[in-house]
Amino acid sequence: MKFRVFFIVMILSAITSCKTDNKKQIEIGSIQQLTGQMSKYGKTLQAALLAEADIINEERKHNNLPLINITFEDDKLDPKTGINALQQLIQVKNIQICFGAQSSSVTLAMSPVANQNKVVLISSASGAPDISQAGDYVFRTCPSDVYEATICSEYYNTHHKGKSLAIVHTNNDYGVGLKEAFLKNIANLGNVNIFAFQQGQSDFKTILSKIKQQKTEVVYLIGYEEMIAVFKQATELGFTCQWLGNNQMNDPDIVRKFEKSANGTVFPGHQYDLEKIKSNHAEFYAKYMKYSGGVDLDVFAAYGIDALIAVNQALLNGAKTGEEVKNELYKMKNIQGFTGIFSFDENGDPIKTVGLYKIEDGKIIKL
Amino acid sequence: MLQLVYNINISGITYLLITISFTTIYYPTKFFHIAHAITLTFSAYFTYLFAKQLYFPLYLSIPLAIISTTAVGMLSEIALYKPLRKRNASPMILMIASLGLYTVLQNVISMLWGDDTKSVRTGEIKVGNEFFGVYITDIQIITIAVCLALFAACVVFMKYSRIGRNIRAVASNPELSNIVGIPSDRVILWAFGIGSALAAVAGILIAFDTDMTPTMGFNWLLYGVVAMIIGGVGSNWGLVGGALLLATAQHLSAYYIGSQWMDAVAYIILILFLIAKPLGFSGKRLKKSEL
Repeated sequence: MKFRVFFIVMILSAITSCKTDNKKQIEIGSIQQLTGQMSKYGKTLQAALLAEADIINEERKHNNLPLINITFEDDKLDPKTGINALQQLIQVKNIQICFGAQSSSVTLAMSPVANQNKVVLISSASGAPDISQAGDYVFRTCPSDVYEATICSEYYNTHHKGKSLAIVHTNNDYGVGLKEAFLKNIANLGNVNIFAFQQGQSDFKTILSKIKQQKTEVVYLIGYEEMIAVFKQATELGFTCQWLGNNQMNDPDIVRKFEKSANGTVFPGHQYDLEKIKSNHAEFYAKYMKYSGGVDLDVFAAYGIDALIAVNQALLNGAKTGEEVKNELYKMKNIQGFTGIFSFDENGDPIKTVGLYKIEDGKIIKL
Repeated sequence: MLQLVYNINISGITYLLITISFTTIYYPTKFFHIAHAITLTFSAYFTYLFAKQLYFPLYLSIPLAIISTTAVGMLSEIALYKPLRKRNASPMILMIASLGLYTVLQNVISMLWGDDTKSVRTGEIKVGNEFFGVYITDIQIITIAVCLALFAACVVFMKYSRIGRNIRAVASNPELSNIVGIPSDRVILWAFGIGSALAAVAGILIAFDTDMTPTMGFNWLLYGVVAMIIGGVGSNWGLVGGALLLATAQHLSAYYIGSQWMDAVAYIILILFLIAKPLGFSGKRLKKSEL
């Protein structure tokens, strides 16, 4: 009997404490890759969200508003794992907003679940064109591949028109999407050689030898960390061509690893000035460095903060449910993010300026 | 085209060192030591630890990394495989245990050093040395010299040294070896030590050439295993042929079809050999009479 009373009291207190927690906190999910080769971006995003949430929560506490609590889940870069994580967050945490995923394949897989459950899903790194049509509840703060590739192809058409071109791309949704969007806009389709490589590949000597043999003048490189090996091996093979790159290069950490091998490479990207972020958001950066263990903020983590800033603004405007947050996000104009001022268009894509950048001696310079 | 021939050779020679390191363990134990992949990876990260994090000079960091990696390989035999063998575990059980060990140790590396690409290079990235239009880097010259020297040393060691002969004896018949006074457990431990040290050298050379990630070892091990299956266990020249054939097929496929096919080609060759010629080029079946 005593045990039964104790058991009932425990259940009641658990229910009461849950209710109190729900009043105090706004539950937000975040699904990204936290283990595996590409997890560097997932970990910097996690650190950035935690640091920005701390700052937002201090303000919220001061204004007697419910605090934001972000629960992180690892999608392992696997669409099925991403779907399971989102379903779990909806059922257990009753989230109305979720950040993620980084990979376009995972975001696309999670989109139907988000739309069905009226949960706002905001990706900070999924560039695939299909994301634009993934439903009303799906947003992103990074540029669509189409936009990025168009800027890059315009640069090629203006400065290198008619020159022999090679496209070296990672063989996944991201690489193929960028390659196709780029090809649509260039002027000399007859003079292009395309080379795909496996994600995580480390030996590029043979394809680079072939590119050199073909006397290629411009190489458009689309990849992730493999780009470090590509630039190194190309330098060792005596490459002197012009390199065009992708938005992944908008990351001081990866550019530092290129050393001087990527000098002169031009790539498109959003306004992202790390030094400016460090000086304008010193409190954030100090917290971020603590969470990241000293790894510099990359552009995708900065896009993640943009997403959190937009969501917080929507919440401050009175939105409570996923549907209200969605409507508010479409309505809001001139959101002041870490990568510039932006709004969302009717597809949930960000409207903001994309510029061209150049790599010089391990540094990113705006063109 | 000469550059392509050179690329094939540099890959083939690296595969040869990995396949010899793997075969040294496989020969007496008869199971797939999958965690050998992590031995190779550990050597790269130990070099990174000593050279880049503890600021030891390279001439000290490299031997220390080889010794530490060898210790990891030997510890896996002492702490995992030997107790399992004592309980009459089949090669399949040992392989599954090895897979588990690989997963655990790979996660340990990720946890300690992160998942991003790390480099142990000390100098700047520079243009390779040009010979007749072929670009060869300093580290590739060192790789060729070291791999060929270690291959020759292994051939001589396995044939003429007492430990080498004992490893061959245990490979032929472990029970009979025990009866005639060759302690099979100690011989297997020696095999793990030698194989792990060779893998450590390969891992360090690869890290200097193409940098390192926690998952780098698995693909290199796959290439080593395929080269062993093509060449056949027990034949050194078969292993040379296997490594070169695999490298040729991979680089030609990268050149004519696409580099995304390099791994697929390795698997296709593996399947074809398993079906048509399971004993490899050499076709040598280990005989009890060898003892």
